[in-house]
Parts: sequence; structure tokens; C-alpha cells
Amino acid sequence: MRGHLKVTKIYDDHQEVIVDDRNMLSQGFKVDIVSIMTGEALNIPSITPGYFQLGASGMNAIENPSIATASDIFYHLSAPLSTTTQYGNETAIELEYLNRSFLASTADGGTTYSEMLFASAVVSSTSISATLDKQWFVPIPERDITKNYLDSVEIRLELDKNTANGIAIREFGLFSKNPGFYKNNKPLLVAYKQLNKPFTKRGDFKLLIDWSIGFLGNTNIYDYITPGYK
Amino acid sequence: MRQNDLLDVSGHLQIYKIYKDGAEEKVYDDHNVITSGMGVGLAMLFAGQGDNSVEDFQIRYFQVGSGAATSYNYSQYALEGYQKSTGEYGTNVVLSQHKRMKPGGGASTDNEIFMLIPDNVIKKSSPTSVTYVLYLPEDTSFAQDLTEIGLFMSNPLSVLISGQDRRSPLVAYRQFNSITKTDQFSLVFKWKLSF
Repeated sequence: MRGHLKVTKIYDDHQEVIVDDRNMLSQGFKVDIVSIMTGEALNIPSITPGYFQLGASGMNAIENPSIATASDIFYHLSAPLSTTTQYGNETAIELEYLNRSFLASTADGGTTYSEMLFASAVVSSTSISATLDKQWFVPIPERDITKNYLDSVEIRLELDKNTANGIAIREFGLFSKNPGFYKNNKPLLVAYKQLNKPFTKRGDFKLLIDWSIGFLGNTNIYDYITPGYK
Repeated sequence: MRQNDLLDVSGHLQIYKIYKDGAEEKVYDDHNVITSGMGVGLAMLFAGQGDNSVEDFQIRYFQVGSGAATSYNYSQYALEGYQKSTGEYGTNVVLSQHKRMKPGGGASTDNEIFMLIPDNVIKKSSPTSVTYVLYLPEDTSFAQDLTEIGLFMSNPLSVLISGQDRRSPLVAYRQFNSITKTDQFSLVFKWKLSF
């Protein structure tokens, strides 16, 4: 399974692709799958992609040289946009203010647990926890989740001309809706992309974010057999 | 830092003979092959294009067979020669006869025989892995030697094939050294999938 992210600036008279690259499927993606396979999941909609975030920094070593370990074990963006003002006062996006899900681990035999970050601990929780504080998330409407091929899923996100202007965007996070099956949605990070360098969103273009997850890039028996399959 | 951009689903299969006196013999221990059917199922799952049934996306069936492909990889979508005689399965396994998913999502022409994987043999090994303990009891005895096994997702296309028979895709596959299954021992397949 792979993830792929394409980001396109849409001007009034032309388009410019600024990102067309693989992304990372993070630990949360695996947690969601195992939740289904073991029957812990109560329903399907809660583990489908439901939210995304934009951020201004990055989780990998390019941004944070002190981090030496390659790992997909993290559950948050480095610096997600933290105020509605950053998303824009005139934005058409309806933001949601939610607690975020994560897996915890302990390094002291279970006396204290904290959010897992980069390294898997000797003892990790097998159930999902959630942050006490809330963050802003951008909901993904069901209509923006589609299938063009039998073995992949495509998610299209749009930031209009009034959204996040003046913000240097460097990271994107895709979250499943509520895999802990809490009363209120508590998103879990499932895919992540950090850009090599940030770009600044401006009011003269929209931003289209096309996120694909599946057996991408592999030639196999299912690819492209049923293009347009819905 | 290398960020993992590939979810490398892997699997590991161990096979044990369990004799009537309790003696245990490990006869196989190796990795397996995750097949493209897994991608179909997971893509349907994350697209929310199933009904609300979690079971449709669970691995709930397996087959054993006697086929022997010269080579195989992730494009495998069926066993080479699954066991077709219901009488040989004995009376202690639960069988289901339904369609298998072919490449492109179509259904096999005929119903095939699948063994049900019950809830109690599906174990969460870690937050990112799951183990299946599959069991062929003593009274399961096949005329042909066993050389292959496959895991099947239940029915991930259910919402698209509403009203039609269950259609299970192969999601993991492995050939192994020939085993003559007799009534002298039970056979246990311990299969761990890591996502």
C-alpha cells in the first residue's frame, strides 16, 4: 500500500502542480486496519478519512535534525494551524474543534503513559487515547472521497482563494474520523506529507490537494482494469 | 531520515502437527505473500464503500490445497488446487460455499469451498498486527497431500454486488512443503499479518 499526494495551484488562467510525490502512511493507518480485522471496530464510517490539517513545519529530520530514527510512529503534525484566523476569516471551510487520537506508551512500567513519538516502546497501549486539548480540523465531505480504481481510494481537498492566505504551508495530515469510537469524533493521523520547503498560500489561487491511497505504482492484476469504477 | 512511504504488509506462517498424545511438531516456518486482493479490500474499506458491516472487511475464510505453481507473487488470486471434496473436511470444521473474487472484481464461475475462521482464533498481536490460528482437526483427512494455503477477506465488494452471492478475494497465500494430512494428527496454521 502506498500513498500519493498531488497539490495543484489553480489560478484563474492556469494551473501549477507544486507537489506530485509519495507520502507516508503512518502508524495510525495500520491501527485502523487491525481494528477492523480483529473486530474491535464498531462501524466502517469511523475509520474512513474524515479530516485533514495543514501545518507550517515538519516531522522529519530535514526540519528536526535531532531526530535520527526513521519512523512512522507519530500521531500529529509538527505545527498544525492552530487558530481559525490562520485558516482565514473569509474561508468557506467549516472547521471543527476536536480532540486528537493517539496511541500511548510507557517507559516506567505502566506508572505513566504518554503519546508515542517515533520510537515504539517496550510497553505500548493497545487502545486509542485522545488528547485533553483540542485542535482545529478541516472536515472531508463524503462526496470528496471517491474510487477511480478498484484497489485505491482518492480524496480531493480544496482550499479556496480565501483560505489560509499568507500561511507558509509545509505539511499535510490526513486523519481517520473516529477510530476510537468516542461519542464525539477524535481524529487519528493515517497519512502525512512534509514538503522539502514551504510555499505560501495566496489569494490569487485555489489549492487542490489530491490524496490517493492504494496499491499505487505497482503493476498488478487489479490496476486499471476497471477505470472509472465507482 | 527516511520516511516510510510504503505500507509494507507482511505475513509469517508457522505450521504445527499436533498428535493425539499431545506431541507437537513444527513442520513449517516462513514468510508469506500478501496478494493484491488485500489492496482491493482495504481500498474499499477506506473509501467507505462498504455497508456498515465490519465483517465484510475481515479475513474470515481460508482454503487449503494441493496445487504447486512454479512461482507466485502478489498477483495470485486463487489457490492452484483447493480441496473440493466436502466429505474430506470431516465434521468439525464449518464450511461455506460461495464465490471467490477474480481479478477485476468478478466472481468465480462456481461456488468454492471455504473454511470459516471463527472469532475466537483471531488475536490482536500488537496495535499493528493480527494473528490467526487456523485448525484442521484430526478427522480432516485429504487424499491429496497439502501444499498451499490462502486467506480470504469476507466480502469487501458487498455494497457493489448487493443481492449477489458473497465474493471473497484472496489476500494472503503461501505454498509449503508437502504434508500428508491423516487422522493421526491435527494441523495448526499460525499466521501473523503485520501491517
